[in-house]
Amino acid sequence: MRLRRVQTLWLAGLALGCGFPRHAPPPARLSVEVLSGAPRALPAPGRPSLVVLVDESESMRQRLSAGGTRAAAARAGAASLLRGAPPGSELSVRVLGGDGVCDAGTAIGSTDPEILARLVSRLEPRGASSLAAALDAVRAGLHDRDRATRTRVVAFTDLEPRCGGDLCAAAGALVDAGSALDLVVLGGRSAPLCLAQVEAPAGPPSALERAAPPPGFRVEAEGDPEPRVLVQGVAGDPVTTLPPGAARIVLALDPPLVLGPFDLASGTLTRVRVVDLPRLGPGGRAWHVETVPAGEAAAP
Amino acid sequence: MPALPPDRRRAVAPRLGLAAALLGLALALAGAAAAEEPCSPWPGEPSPLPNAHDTDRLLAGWARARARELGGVAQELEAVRPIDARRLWVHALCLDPGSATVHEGLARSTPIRVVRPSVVMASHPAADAAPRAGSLADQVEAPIVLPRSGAGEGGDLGEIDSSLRYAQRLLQAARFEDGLRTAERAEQSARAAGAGAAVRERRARAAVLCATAEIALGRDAAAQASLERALEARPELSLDPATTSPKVVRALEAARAARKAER
Repeated sequence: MRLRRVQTLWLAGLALGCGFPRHAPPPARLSVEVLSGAPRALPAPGRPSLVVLVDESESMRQRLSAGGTRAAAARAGAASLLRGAPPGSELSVRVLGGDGVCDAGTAIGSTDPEILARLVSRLEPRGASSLAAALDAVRAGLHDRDRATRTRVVAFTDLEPRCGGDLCAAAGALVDAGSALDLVVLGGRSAPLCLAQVEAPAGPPSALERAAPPPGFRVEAEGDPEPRVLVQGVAGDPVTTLPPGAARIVLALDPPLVLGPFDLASGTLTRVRVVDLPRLGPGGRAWHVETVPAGEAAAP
Repeated sequence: MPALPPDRRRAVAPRLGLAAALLGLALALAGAAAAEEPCSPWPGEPSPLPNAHDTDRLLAGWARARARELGGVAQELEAVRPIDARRLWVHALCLDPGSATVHEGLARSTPIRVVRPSVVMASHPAADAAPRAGSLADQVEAPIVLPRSGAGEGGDLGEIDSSLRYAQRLLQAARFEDGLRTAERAEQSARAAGAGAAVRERRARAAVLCATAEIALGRDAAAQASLERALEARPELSLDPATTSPKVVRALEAARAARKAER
């Protein structure tokens, strides 16, 4: 009798010590990936900045077929643009022509668009300046990148190349600095074809230069009266393991996204992929949950 | 499509052949070499950058939605940060090359625009003072309104007078070639301005300035022709010896005599 009891205990011990671990179910595995977009709120674009170049070189005295001279049209166009600039715009004017010989023109400044418009209206064509040099001077005056990217340069000119200079290089450098350029051409001269090759620099604007940190997630056991967190992590982390069973996945998005419940079966890999573009509203969110069976789940 | 230089990807154009430029950019983006540069993923985006034709439906959907999102941001930035908006549209084209909205955005946001606005003459002198409507980019394209003040006969006498004064200053500074060119333009402008007395008076003054420059440059025959034009405009023209070079005064009288002899 005693011997039988000892045998029973020995067998039970053997079963506990060796048999159970060999049959314990392997854990479930989970990967979470979030494809996100721009933040819901971006910094305000700021005040527009307008730089008007008025070509009052001697060549602008030539008449236009519609009437008036190129210079008169340049003055009228520039004055109208200055008066029509959005309130609060940063304004500046550079006049090409004058006493210098093929220089970069002269900057005239005022914060009052009406004063600038009146000053422009009184200009008189004389001398000649280099449009390329003027663009270089404008770029040099845009001290910081933020100001440069808020700036539109508008040049009223006949593109007479009396002073030479590399217009395409100057225009390209201006665009590289972040400013847009409009050439308002008065008269029949064609713009250099190389201007068509100028493209904005690649890469994101400053507001999108930094990606938002990946959101966190947690997995809660389903069916428990109190939420019980099985595992938590960050989207994009390597595959995590967790006890098999029914569970919900909660992603810390805005608003939070709750997926499931799923049966996170033993040995399987559950891949959760979420698209979250909050600026598009509810239509900017989608997800796909895929379960890779145990036999195929070796590779995440 | 050859690969663009690695330091600068410049492909698309303003008005100058916009359609061709857009096609060029689209081709550039389709090319394998180009796909590495302008279509490289931005921070937080999957790598390699998917597009709307990705075989993975979720990635394709993300690419379409991301292009829509960036387009929305670009539209917000266009008025104030046009080049930033341009960068967004170019990236959106990588994500969704077939989107009409993206192509429209690209067309709107060319970094350099060459604009040739129409110039119209207005009846009211104050018409040009009226601010234009729309964004700065729209305003640049609006017609330029010139006042018709003093229009008609000699409508731009102010401009002509300004040219004449400038030509006079150039001659006083011994810049005879520049002065001659300016005076010739003033004379052309006066010829185009009509045939009234005020205009003819300007034509005569311009021709005398041409002659003055030509005499200084030793071009006597040309000076003679210029003074004949001056007398054609104002047969009774006389020059003040106190303020005019004796050579010019003598040349004028010679031209007058030749004119009478011809008759």
